[in-house]
Amino acid sequence: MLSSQALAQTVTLGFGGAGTNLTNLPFNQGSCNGNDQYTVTWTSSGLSSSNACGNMQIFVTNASGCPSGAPNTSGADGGTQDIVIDTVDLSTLATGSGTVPSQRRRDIPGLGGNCPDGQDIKNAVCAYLQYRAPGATSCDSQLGSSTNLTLNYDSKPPVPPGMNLLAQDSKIVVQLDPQGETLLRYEIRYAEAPAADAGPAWRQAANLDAKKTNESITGLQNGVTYIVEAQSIDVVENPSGYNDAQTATPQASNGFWGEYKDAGGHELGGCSSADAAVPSVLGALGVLGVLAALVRRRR
Amino acid sequence: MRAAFLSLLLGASAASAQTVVQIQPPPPPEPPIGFLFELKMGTLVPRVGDEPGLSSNPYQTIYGNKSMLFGGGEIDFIAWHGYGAVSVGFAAGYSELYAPAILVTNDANNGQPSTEKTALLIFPLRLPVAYRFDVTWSRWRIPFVPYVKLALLATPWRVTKGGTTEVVNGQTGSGLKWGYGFTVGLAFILDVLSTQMAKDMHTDTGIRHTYIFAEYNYDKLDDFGKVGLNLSARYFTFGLGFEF
Repeated sequence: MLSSQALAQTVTLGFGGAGTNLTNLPFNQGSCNGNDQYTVTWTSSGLSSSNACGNMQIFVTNASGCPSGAPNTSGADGGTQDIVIDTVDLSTLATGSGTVPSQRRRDIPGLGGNCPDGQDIKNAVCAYLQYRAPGATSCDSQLGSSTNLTLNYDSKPPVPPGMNLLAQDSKIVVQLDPQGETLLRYEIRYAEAPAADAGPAWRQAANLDAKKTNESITGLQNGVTYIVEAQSIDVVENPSGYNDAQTATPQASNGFWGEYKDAGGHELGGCSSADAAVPSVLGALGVLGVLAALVRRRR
Repeated sequence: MRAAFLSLLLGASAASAQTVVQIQPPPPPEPPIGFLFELKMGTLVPRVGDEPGLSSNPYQTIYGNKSMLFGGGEIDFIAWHGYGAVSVGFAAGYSELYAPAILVTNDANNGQPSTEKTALLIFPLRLPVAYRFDVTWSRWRIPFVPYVKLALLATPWRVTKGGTTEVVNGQTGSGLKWGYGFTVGLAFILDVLSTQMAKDMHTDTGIRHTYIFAEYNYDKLDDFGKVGLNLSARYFTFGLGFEF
């Protein structure tokens, strides 16, 4: 991203108030309609009135990347739709850092002040400055931001998740697949399969973080058929809508412990160090101690 | 006696002026104390069905003829080294086995495998006292060392179904079993394969001997005869050991 020939001169951009490492600012239709704003901070190094030639321009392009030249001169958008959001003069540039005045998110070139449905638009925030390279006499070196800063308007709902149900003992395991979407979480709801024309009485299961792929709905009644639906929520809280419902019927099962108890096992579980075990263990430890003492004494 | 023998050899050497005599010093005596560290693994089948009064063997019902994979380590302190060595130690291991749970229904699915897994997890701990007849190596240079061990056993165990501890009628499928065990084994001293490498290892790391071993374990793990879950087992383990 650095178009400079000299390593000592840099400009870095970041989104203000959102941590120094945030370079992508996604927002949804609600944020757009709500006229939410954003700020950009900049830092520079190695730049002063002695080598910077003119003001630094900070602008938003109608593309996901920054052009190599000045705003409205080049780039994927033809260089005609860039919006300059701030101009930093030489004296301010020499201070090394500053903040661009707040801007409305909807005022990026890709939106043109609107908040359309079903769109996924990425516009880049860029910086541009001409400067004099060390040892050079002309101001023909160009400097851009070393960070790639992106405003991402996303009103496009994600695809509903793929789903598989595993009926188990008093529970249903819901296995979910993101279908290639980048998600925040899944929302799951379930209900007992209703009688003929009755509607299901939905209950909300715990949300599932999108980093995980399955969630158990517990406390269900064995032998009862349940219907389950899930929807994906993307990183800007766009819901996918619920997927096609599936059904599953929990069934009782025996693990090893259940099978053991059914076979008449006497073990009660928990720490069985009561009764004969404790004195026996103490006796055994005593024998070991005497043996060790005898060995030491012989030495 | 030895000095006279050396003089004779040196004299003979000087006389002929052609014979090269190499005197090999006897091996250094084994130090009186030290440590052993062993890594071992094997497979075992707990004798759950030995519990009196069971209508069936639940281990076989769930796991069939599968064995549990066992892995563990042991550290021993050599407390006495004379004609053989006596050590006391501590060993810890882990063993697990997973299989599908079994459906319990009133229809044709009864007895069929569930999508849920059930696991038996055991964590064998033991305090062994061992006698190693290592004069076979230290005096006779035979690289096989037989040994026997007597151990106090304590084994925490846990049964899971669907990833959590299984509970049946309020009784939790976990606990602690006590018992005792016998072990007989045979170690093969790897030093014999490369004496120089063994010396270098001793100099560089302090490891006096390295050995592989095979042993047979007879573990009686039933709370000293109390009727309950029987985790006794008879099994072989194999491993690698180091003596410091």
